[in-house]
Amino acid sequence: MPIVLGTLLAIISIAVIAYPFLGSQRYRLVSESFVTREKLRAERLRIYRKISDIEADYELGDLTEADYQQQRDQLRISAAEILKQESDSITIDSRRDEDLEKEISRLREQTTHSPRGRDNL
Amino acid sequence: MAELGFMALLLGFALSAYSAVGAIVGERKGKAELVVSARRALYMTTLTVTVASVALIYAFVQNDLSIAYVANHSNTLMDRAFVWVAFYAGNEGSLLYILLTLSIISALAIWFAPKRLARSMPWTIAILAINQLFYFGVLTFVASPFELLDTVPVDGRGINPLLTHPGMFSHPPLLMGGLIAITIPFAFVSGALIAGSYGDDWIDVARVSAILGWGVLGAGMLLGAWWAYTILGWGGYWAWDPIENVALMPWLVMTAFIHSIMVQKRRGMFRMWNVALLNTGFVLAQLGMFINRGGPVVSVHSFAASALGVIFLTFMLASLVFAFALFLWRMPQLKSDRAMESFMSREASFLVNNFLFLAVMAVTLWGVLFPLFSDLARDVSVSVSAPYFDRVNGPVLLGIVVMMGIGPLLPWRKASARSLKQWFIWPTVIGVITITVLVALGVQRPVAIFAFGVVAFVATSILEEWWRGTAARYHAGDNWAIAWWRLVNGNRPRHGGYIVHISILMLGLGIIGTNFYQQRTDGALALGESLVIDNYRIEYVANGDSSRPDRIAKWAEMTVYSIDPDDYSQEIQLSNAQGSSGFTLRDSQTRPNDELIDRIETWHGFYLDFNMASVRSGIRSTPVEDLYVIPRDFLSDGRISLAVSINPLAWWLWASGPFFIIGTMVAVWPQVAVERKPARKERLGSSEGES
Amino acid sequence: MASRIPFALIGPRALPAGATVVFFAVLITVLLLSSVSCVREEDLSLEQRAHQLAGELMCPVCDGQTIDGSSAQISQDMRAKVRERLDAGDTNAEIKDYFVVRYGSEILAAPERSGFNLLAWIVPVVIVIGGFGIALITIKNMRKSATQMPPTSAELASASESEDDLTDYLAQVDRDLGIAPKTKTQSKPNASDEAKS
Repeated sequence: MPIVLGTLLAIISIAVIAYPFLGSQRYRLVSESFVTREKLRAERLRIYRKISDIEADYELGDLTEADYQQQRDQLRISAAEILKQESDSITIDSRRDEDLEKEISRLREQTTHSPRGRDNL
Repeated sequence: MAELGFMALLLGFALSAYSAVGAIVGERKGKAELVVSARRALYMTTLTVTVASVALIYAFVQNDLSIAYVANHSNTLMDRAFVWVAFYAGNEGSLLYILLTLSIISALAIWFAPKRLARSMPWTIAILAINQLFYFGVLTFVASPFELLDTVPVDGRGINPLLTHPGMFSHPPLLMGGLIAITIPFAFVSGALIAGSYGDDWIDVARVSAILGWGVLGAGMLLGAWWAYTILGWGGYWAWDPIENVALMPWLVMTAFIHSIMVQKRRGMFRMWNVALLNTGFVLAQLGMFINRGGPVVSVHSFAASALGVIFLTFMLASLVFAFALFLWRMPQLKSDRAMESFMSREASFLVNNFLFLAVMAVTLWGVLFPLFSDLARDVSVSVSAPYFDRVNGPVLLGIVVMMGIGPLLPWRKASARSLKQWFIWPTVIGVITITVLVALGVQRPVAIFAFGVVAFVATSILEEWWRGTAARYHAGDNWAIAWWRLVNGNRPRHGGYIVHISILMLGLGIIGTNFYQQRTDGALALGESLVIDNYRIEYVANGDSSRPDRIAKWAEMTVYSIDPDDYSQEIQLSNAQGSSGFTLRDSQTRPNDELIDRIETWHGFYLDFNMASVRSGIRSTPVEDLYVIPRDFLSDGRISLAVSINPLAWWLWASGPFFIIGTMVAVWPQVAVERKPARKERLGSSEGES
Repeated sequence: MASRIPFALIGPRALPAGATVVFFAVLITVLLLSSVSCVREEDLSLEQRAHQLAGELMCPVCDGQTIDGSSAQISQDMRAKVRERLDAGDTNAEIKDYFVVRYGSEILAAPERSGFNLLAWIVPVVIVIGGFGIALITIKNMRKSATQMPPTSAELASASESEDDLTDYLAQVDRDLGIAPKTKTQSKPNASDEAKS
């Protein structure tokens, strides 16, 4: 009985790790631009958090008016810059996606099998 | 079940090896399927360890004595409720438990990792897999909990009697879990560094996972202290034993880390420093594992010496080399965004606090290693124990409490005179008043009085900040409770930290009280006799037998009276002349002002198979002081030998626990995002999801 | 007492570095002194001294416990011996010597402050003072680089260069910060690698 259970466990494990190679779906590494966007977004949210922290400090009297204004403006500008980068990267990305769609449909016409594997944008 | 457990561990060994190799190769060659498969393999190790653990627990429940580990840690007499304790009571089982924890938290960490870390995840997976591989290897080939005995014994050896206590259900698992949990932030940060991600992308994951591990480790240590105080029956709670020290050291370094990570979060500074701290914490956790497993120092806690020592030493040295080689390789990229602007800034105070934590760590490490050093250098054995650590670490710990008051009062960047004066005035006044009052009351021990002043200073600084923040919101129209809660919610890391600081202050009160003002006396009482100490009279009123096949045990009941010293002036004079702190009364006549305040029960058992005594102390606990009665022995003439102590403020040690846990939870609870909606939703929508 | 010092040192502007150094130096000294000051033998009753001594002697048969904490038979005998020597009028040092002669220097819970063992006591002081020095030098160096490179220069430069381009985005930032309802930061469970194509 224990041997059977153990063998079953081994079979399940092998099936689970082999699945990505056998299944019909393709996997790709997450695209660089997607990661960049996620990072930018997280960075922006961190800046927002800093701004609200500064506001709290200012309310408590930890910061002088001038310091508060200066720091807050700096952070706002950094956030806006990141927002700009975010939307720039989206524009570039969607253009690339269009190219990719064309490429894929071209390939589909050529072969019956969909090309497996990654494409690392 | 032994076969199943063994197969599961072997399978886990293969899976984790595959996961490590697959993640690295997949990343280098850009093969996404391989990375996905490696990640899945790491999920599967969780399943195999769980199966192995269930198999072992099942064997315990069945009392399957053909398995050596079960036979050594269980017997037919053992209460089945203690199966969970027996599971990790020995070397092999505790390693299995550690691996179980590691695999579960690894799986959770990978599952919840934010997408922006996608580039470094293969490396993180590989590091986690290698750590698991190590434990799988040890459990499969060196210290298997599923080893079979050639001849099945009639009965098992039974569980160590010191472990049959409710505290044992949580203290060892929390401690081991907290130590191994440091692997998670380490894997995230190392992964990010290898992948070449130098920014702050990893900061939130590292912070949250580090605080969780840190909180668990801290709670584990506190529970251990509580267990020692209530069960071990030696009247103390922290002995600076090597095993306690090796749990404390990584905790101290992680404490430094979770403070200085805030500087990186807020000001973009200390990146290099934070990575170094995390590496140090990880390596110290490995040192803890090593010393725990047949390391070279003596301790009450250590598992029986085994060949494992060398293996764990090798793994520790390997992690040391890896962590710091990686650090040196990536150091040039870990620049600070900004520079320090003033000594009187929160950044600087965090740096000083970091230095103090590291100093306690380094001094403790030195104390742990000195006997070894002395042995090697000149072949002379020495002991380094509590009196040494109290002396060398006490002052630095007090310094940390001082910084705990000063640091949060200093604003970021630099302090302006106005804000400083405004902030420091009340804490300083209250601190000075506390010291003055204590001196006026004739309290002894200047160091302790100073320490009380420091505690008052820090407490006031926290309350003051809460008061101001709450008052501002109160005037804006909230009621007090809501106003306070909003304040805490507005910046959870900070205010959660304050709650933890309060728990540390409570701990501090207990430590000062018990270390400086403890009163003790010993005595032997026959039934009906009393022992008098300070304002207490303890009368021995009843006893009984509670032996079982495996132990000789007796309980004793005492009544506690509060007394008026005037009633006993003669005896007190006499005992003072003899140099005693207390005295025994042969008659048990109640004097006019005696007042019955409590009944306490103590218990003393001797376990034949283990040749080991275990006691339950009788404790009457109040916030002011504990009356603590240890039954040392039942003497052959029918008397009971007692050690009685009065431990001032000991209650606060344990009261700090809930605050510690609540504060930690508040600090890591997900922050409310300031952002309301994903910016430019209409444009983001088109490209989300990478297909 | 130390808590009053910051006051005295607070100048009209940010604190002078020297004053801060002095403050921390004083603090450290006080703390180090506090470890030296302990209660004198004569002030304690014999029983208190007996407990104190019991906490400074190791139990020879237990792992890492003092005789104070251990219930082993030998610890009980040793405690009785301590009390006996105290009643006979021995000093703490004499009693410790008595046990060292019989059990070796291992019997002491803390190494003596002489000879090789002095190292055990000196190294912590070196660590604390050395570490403190390193911390101060680090802060000082970080400040030096601060004066050379104003912390905000990068941000200011980039800000002035493109402030106009950013107007739209700044408005968006202000909207994010000010108006819409609150949501939680999400740490979405995901398996992004497994995204299907």
